[in-house]
Amino acid sequence: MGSVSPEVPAVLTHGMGLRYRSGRIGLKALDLQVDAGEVVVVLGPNGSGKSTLLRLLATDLRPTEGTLSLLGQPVSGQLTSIRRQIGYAADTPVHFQVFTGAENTEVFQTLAPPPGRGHLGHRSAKDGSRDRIQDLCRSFDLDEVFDTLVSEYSFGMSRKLLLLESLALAPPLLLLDEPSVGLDPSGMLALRKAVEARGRDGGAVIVASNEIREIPMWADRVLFFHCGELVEDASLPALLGRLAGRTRIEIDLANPEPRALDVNLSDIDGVEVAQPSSTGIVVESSQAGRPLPDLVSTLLTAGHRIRDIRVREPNLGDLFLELTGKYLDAISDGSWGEGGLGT
Amino acid sequence: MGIPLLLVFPISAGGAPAYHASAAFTVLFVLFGTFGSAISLLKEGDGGPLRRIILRGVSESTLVTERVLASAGLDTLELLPALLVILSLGGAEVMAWALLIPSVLLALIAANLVGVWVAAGARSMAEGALFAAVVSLFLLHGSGVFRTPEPGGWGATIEGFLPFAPLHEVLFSATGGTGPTVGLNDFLVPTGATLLLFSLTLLVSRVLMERITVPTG
Repeated sequence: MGSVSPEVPAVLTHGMGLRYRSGRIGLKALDLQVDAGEVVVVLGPNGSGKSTLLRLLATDLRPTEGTLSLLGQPVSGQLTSIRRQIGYAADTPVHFQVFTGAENTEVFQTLAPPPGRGHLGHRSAKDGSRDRIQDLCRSFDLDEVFDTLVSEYSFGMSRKLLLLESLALAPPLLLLDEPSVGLDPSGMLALRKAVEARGRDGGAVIVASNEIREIPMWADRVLFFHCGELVEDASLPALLGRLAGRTRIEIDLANPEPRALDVNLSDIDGVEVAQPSSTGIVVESSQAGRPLPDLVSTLLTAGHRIRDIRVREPNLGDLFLELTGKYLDAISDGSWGEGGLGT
Repeated sequence: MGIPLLLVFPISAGGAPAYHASAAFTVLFVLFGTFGSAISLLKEGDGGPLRRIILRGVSESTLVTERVLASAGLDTLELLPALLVILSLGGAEVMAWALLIPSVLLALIAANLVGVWVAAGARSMAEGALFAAVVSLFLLHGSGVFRTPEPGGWGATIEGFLPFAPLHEVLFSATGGTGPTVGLNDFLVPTGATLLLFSLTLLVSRVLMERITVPTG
């Protein structure tokens, strides 16, 4: 199994940034250290720089400023040795369509074995690659189609195969870009187990996602990215602690419009934050659902018609909204538009 | 295998003059190499598995070497039936039989290398096809395929370096043409030039492969 020496950071960046040839900034100067055994989840909406960060760490892109070291080696010049220690599953699965899943896996395993390991045939007895592939096959429900041509795979099956190929080598540095896209619940469970196992075995894992309900729960650390910039870097318990004791009340109106906030809701006891949304208003309460009767009464008095009310605990998407004023994904924002914070 | 055979057989069986037949065959074989190399690279580079292979830790120079040699070998195998038709219907001499495979292999290695450069310069498959045709025809012209350069002139000097020239000479002989006998000496300089092109390609292989596989950044 590949693991990073505990003394050497798996990822170390100083002021690393990327400016595309068009002049657009992909990533602003980033200082980041990820150690062995850490599972880090990178959250951010589309275009926030998550995939750019992973492509930089996978050496698919070169930083235009700052420095980057991977597994104790500076990223410059010949990269083959570093690349052989990285498992990278990009957001789009790419395979040889004329090969089966098993053949694709073998090709990507044997093309460039990690330093110190032979080819697959020689390696199996030493590090159990074949056993690991079989286990992953079973847990990702690919065993029945493993010998089928990839051209006959669905998108979800291709995604699973890509994840299997990246996980099978047990790389010291594992990079997964939007791994939940296209995965069914059993696939998500298999992925979670594999990611947690990789972290336990001393590998560093970085997962980029805008899925906020499940994937962040696997993390030791969560990074929030917005407009190519790291806006928050904290442990998962610390972030969850900031959400503790808060309640989110979402009220859908029959005629949602900014006018809803003409009504003064901030004077209601327990209301911390109130903001408009495309379906109505959203209120953050420090006293659970207690302000709800007053909120309903105030809105009805002002002539609004209420269609639906949801009371829930806030999630990381809500925290992201607080930090950036932007919604992280469609689940957290309930497909609302962009909204400024109003009280 | 079928397409080269389909193109070669009527020319050989129809008794075309050696001058025309050898030119047609040389153009066909060289385009087979440059198109095959450039188009497949562009196809696999545009969101294909090529970038994945590089990111798995296969060096660009290894990838280029393996692809060029494997493609040239496969191209030669695919052309074998057509070559046998040329040799058997052309009444070729023993020397032509012996030199045809090496000359085809040398030309195809060079053509595949040209294909790598073409793919790196093209932004689409259509552009790749156009560039492959233009560059190949330009080099074929320099190789004396479409006209005989004046002996001792700069055209003849250039022809002496180009790896498609021996192929043309051997094919001319194999299709019944009469002229100066082609010998192993005629291969030395073009082989050196091909090795030089190979070395240069490997030297800048990272840049070339990044141009082929990474459209942005």
